[in-house]
Amino acid sequence: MNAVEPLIKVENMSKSYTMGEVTVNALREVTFDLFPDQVTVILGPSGCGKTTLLNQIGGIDTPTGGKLLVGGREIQKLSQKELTDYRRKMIGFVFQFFNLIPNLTARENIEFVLEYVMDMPSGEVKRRAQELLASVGLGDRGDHFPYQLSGGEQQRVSIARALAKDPRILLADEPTGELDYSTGKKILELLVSFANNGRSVLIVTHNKELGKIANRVLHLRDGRVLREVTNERPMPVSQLEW
Amino acid sequence: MRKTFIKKGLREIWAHKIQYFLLALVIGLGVAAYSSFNDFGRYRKDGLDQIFEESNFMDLQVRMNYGSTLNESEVLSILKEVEDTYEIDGREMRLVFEVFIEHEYEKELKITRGEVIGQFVSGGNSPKDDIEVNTPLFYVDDPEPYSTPVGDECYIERKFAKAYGFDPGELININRGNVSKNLEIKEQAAIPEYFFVIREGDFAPSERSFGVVLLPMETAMELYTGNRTDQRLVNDVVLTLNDTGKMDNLKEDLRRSFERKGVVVKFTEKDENPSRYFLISDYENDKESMAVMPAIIFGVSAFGLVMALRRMIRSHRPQIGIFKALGMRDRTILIYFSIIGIFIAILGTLLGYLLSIPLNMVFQGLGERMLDFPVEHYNITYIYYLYGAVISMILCLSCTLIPAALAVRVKPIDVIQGKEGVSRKQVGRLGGVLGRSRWLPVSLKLTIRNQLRKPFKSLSTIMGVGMSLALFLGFMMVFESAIAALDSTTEGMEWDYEVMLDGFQPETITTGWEDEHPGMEDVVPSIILPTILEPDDDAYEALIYSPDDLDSVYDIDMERGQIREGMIVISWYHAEKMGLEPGDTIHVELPVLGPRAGFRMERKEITISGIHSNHLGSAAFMPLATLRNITGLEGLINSVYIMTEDGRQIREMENDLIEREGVTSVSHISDREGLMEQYLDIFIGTIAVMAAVSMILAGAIIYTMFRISAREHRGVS
Repeated sequence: MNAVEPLIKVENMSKSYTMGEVTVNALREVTFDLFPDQVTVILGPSGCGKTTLLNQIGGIDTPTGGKLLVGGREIQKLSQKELTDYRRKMIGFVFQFFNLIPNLTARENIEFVLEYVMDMPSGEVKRRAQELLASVGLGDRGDHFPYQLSGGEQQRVSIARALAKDPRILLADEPTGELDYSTGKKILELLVSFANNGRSVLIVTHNKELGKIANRVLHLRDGRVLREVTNERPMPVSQLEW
Repeated sequence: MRKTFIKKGLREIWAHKIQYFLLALVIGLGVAAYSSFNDFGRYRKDGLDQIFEESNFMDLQVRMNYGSTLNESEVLSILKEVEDTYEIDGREMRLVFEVFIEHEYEKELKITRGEVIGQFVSGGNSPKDDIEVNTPLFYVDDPEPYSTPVGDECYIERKFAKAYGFDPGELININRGNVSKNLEIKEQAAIPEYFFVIREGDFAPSERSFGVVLLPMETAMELYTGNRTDQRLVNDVVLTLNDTGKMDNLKEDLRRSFERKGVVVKFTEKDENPSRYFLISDYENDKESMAVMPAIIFGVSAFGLVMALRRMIRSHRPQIGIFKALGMRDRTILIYFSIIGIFIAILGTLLGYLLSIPLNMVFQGLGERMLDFPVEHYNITYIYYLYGAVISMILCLSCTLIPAALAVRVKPIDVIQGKEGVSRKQVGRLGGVLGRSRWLPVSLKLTIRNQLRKPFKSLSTIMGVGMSLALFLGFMMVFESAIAALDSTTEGMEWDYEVMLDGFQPETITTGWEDEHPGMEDVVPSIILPTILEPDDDAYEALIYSPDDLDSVYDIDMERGQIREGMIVISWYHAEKMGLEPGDTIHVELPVLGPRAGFRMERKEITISGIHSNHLGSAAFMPLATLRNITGLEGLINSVYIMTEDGRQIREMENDLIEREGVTSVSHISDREGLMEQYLDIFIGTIAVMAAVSMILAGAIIYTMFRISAREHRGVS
């Protein structure tokens, strides 16, 4: 039993889709908590509902059953405005395919969030964007457009963009899926380093090795949590191999 | 507005520059059409107001009847009596009389009927300097003056001069009875009462068959009396009034005053002047179509824009999903799309302004051809361009914001993962049938199913393409029809000469014409009567043509029915308007000669025997005997048609006929064709411009629609 109050409580959450005449149950009564200062990894094969779970927590999709509690409030009962505020203040998203805005440079992709999501004063935007780019090792690549960056660099911009909001929870969908080994490790180091000061990182992946760096690992199969494993001593990313 | 948004908007536009340029072109064409057409309408209206105002166009013309004249002093005393009571601002006393103008044309002698207007002009002055009412040459800063009032110099009406190529310095010979004078042309002049050369009773403009010559009173008197004399005779007075509200009383007082001098006068008020009436009614007729055409263009361009932007915003929905996932507020997303809308509006408006330059040049040319002398400089009325910009801005903003507002309501995940827009609907029964049809190629099945899955999207594309094509084809058809109407009008006229008579003359007027003129093949007496066709409560103007031998004069293309004694043939246009068919009856208002004397207008019920499709506008046909039975015009005619050998022009015959008593004009078919072309000039010109604009519009809309479709199928956001 963890004495710390969870950031998010997931209780018997379900999600089903109707595709034509077929109903697909992507999530079935999933229950777990997301704690601050922790890295949580959700492991499972393709199609097991990992990304669906991430999307529910990120507030970009809504569960069809169960509860997703944030600060004691059910996310399904939030108004559109409150949901937007939740996504704005609580969540940072790192998409599997980066989803950078193609006609903005790396720096502008971050500035865009700082200006229009965080309402940061114009004078500070440039400085902060440069800081964020430097923090992901791209201080000199800020004027490049996404198509001029490698996959790893795009992923790092995507992380910097997520960090720009200084969210409480960072959600990363297969953050190493498109990356080579060394770039993947760098990205993981970045993500893990974020889980402090009351912040939490949730990574979904099919790569079992990534479970070793997590404080907690949830094994997902066919939309259900098969088991939940707690690592008292997570492995440092530098020792990780796959 | 933060600069990242602007940068992003600009980059978005640059990334899809052709598409955005075409969208801007679509709205730009609407702006250009709206601004230029309204500006042209304003130019025509202001141009007319300006020429009538600057030329001090008369409020009232007093013409002495039956060849009466009075001395200048007598007329002056009459005018002095009423001057103060009726606040007469300006007056001009003139001596107006008919003449023959002899001149060389195509190396042959040409005689034309004309009119001399003798005016009081001091020596060394031009008609502009001294003429207070109906001022000629008002548009010239420093017109050439008469050398002396007795210098045998004249100014000649501009359209007539242009038709026959008279230039300053040339000589023309003016005849009145036995008096003949050679006059040197000082300048061509626009004469206010003949801005458009049409006389009372004319059915068509007569600038080639009626020349007006301005002379100083002294020279006019010499021509009028045959002697150089100090006497000054007046038979025509034109007045401008400070207050036209007392017009009826003024006319009554003037009538009595002139009657006391033994002179009967005829009054013509400003709006009764045929030239002014024609120009204003021509403008009024065109006004509605001129307002409708740009509205249609703007409407189609707006529709094209709505459809294209709606589709384009839809293609941006994954990006909207990402914005939302990042926590961006809906309001901020809408502001972003409004920037794109504003960019398109600004670009479109600028393009519209650029496009309006050539449009304005075309319209300026049309406007100048209409009046044939320089009026107001074709300047821009900024308000229309401002309205165009505002409409463009509203359209672009609403076309971006409405679909964007719909897009931000969706769940981010749906648009990010592309589930949104992928129809969950079944392909339907038809789709199912197609699926089982093995004989259909897969590509065709895919196309049909795509259309069935997203019927609104398919329909909007089809509508956009269809409307723009329909617009282009519509204008092309109107253009072609106008040209065809001109051609078929010409083809429908079998006559070579149309001779108009002074009122009704005995049919015997044509006796001996054929024998006297070699080359003249046939002479057909005729009556042409303006009439009102009145089915029930409606009323339509028409001209009844009743030549003695209809078949030889007009090639009537009968659509239904036939020409029959005792009945009338009406035009297809009238039949459509009034919903009439052969066998129906119609009320026709006609002048009927009473048993004692004089005409009275009567409504007669006549059966329709046929409907013709000749493009003669409002023409109706009736056998001459029938018309005579109805009207009592037995033995009388008001026009004559002449057929010549091989349709050739015989100048000698023209000159002989025009000088005969009772003949007012002799027009060759080529003159009529030229006049009709001129008459339809603005209409055809306008339609041609619209066809060109709509062609570009159609191209832009179709290209944009298909480009967006192609992008959608590539899955590019």
